[in-house]
Amino acid sequence: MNAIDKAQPPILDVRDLEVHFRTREGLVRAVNRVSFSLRRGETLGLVGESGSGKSVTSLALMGLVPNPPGVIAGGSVMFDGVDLLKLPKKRMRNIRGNRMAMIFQDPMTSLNPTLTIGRQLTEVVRHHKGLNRHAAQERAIELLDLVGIPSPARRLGDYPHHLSGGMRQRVMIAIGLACDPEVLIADESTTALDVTIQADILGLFASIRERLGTALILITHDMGVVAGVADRVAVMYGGRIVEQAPVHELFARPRMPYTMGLLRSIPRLDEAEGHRLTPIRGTPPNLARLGEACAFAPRCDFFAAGVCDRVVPPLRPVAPEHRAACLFDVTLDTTVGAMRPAEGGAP
Amino acid sequence: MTDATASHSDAESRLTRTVRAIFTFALRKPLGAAGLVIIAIFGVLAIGAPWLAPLDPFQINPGALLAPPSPQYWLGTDEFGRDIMSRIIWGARVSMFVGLMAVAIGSTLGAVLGLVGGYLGGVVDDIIQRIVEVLLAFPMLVLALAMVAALGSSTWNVIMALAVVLAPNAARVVRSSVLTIRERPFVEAARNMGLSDRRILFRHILPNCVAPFIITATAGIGTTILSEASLSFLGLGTPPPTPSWGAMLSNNMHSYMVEAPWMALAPGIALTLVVFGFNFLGDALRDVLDPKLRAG
Repeated sequence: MNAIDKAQPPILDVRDLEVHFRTREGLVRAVNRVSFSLRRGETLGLVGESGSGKSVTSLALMGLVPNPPGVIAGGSVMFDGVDLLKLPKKRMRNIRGNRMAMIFQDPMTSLNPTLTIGRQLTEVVRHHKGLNRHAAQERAIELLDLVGIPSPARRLGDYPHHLSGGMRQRVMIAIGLACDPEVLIADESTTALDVTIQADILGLFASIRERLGTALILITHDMGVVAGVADRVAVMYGGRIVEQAPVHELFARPRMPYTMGLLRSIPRLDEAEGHRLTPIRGTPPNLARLGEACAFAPRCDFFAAGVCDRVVPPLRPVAPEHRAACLFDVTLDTTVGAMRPAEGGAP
Repeated sequence: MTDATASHSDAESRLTRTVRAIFTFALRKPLGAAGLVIIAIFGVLAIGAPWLAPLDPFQINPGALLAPPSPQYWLGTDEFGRDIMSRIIWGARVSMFVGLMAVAIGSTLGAVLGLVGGYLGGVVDDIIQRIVEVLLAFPMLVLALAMVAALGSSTWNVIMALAVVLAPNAARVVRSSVLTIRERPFVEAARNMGLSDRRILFRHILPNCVAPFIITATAGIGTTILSEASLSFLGLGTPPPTPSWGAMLSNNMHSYMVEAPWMALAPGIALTLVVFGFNFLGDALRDVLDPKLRAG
């Protein structure tokens, strides 16, 4: 795809991240020993259903987990060699929005309705880069142009309600890009948009990466979005990463039954007419009640009693650059009972 | 849609847009517009008192004590022969000044407290809220009365007393808006951009609380003017001989009500009109600025 220098150390390296929420129901382990890394210019798709811990993971990276009730219980987030979790508040603020930015889910509510687009754009650059009013204005126009907003100079005086949803999303991306961040996190940034606009925005992400070399974490529940843009995919379930692989590998040879379920529930054009989609049965797990068992076990088609409900399957290598958290190789036509459960440990 | 909006704003200057907005307001809210007109008239009288008052409001005229309304004294004279018309015009100055200043100071103070408390929450909010509740527990006038009695009566003490009385209400209104606004995604987005708390509070949250704030403030002006009059009526407001509507009312009540009813009627009507004016305007503003009606 594009030039990702694999020799370079990753710009972002998350190790064993744990985020807990203290609730009345008990301790909710929203993010459970999540590890992944991101190289410069790379796009990582973080996929999972609602409540799987995707958004909490991204909030933890930005240092914005609401506390209380949230606590970062462990792990490290190395950003360009610095552990963000250990950074004092003020220095974290200098990174946030500047070297690492996030684009929110809902373009309709994530812009301040009482400030013009121009003010909201210039605010970030003036704050982080100390530009004067004029230079900030120029930068704002440049950014709006970059995200494909026509006649950008005239848009600066507009209020958010003057713009359509797709336009607002572009403005939010422009704000995210304002300080040339090394890492951009897009949290369900295309979910609230029409499909055509969605495609535009994804195209925009791709071109931004090409032109600016920004590393992108794309948080979504839409496998289709991931297939189009991401280099690598991490699938989250029940607060854990359950499978991680390059995008082609994941789509060609999914190893975790949950990933398979996700892929099966995408409508396909090449399927015979009358073919019905196969949903994943059951509902997402209650994160407060995860015990020593595979979180997906109750919904799994390959469930093996006495094994899957006894052990938390470790994320283990199953192919080069491909790791999955399943005790069995369900892609092989073997009876699961015949396999030894603890085959291979965590790397 | 966006292009239409742009050409719209290009073609019209700021002034014509303001004028158009005022006309739309007048058409949609005739009572509010009437209120605005009343306030404007009294405002002009207050500002232009030295030139608009036909006579000197302090000039005692032994030859025309308790004179009924006549071409010379439009609204009659009081027990010292002072022209009531002139005193009403000068009194507008006191009433409007006290009303506006007290509301401006009190509401601003309250707004800052509400803003800080609502945003920070926790102990700071608890302390502010307990103080606010204590102040709210007193009847407004009694509290103002006590404060003026303690401070001594002067125009500024009246203003400060009324401001303190007004602040809790503003604090509550602003705090409640802050509580809802701080949970909105754009605030989280702002935090995500690495902006400081102070910047988020004043640049992103404050502008979104302005509408309810303006409404309470405007609605409070009428009541405040009335309170000032009540304080003066009770002899604790603006000290004589400065003409004040409340004091003018009280001078006359006991002895001259039957002989010279115009002495009480004129300031009473003036007071009623101004309070009506501000209340009408406040009501209309509430309807117009209501975020639910304004969206889109």
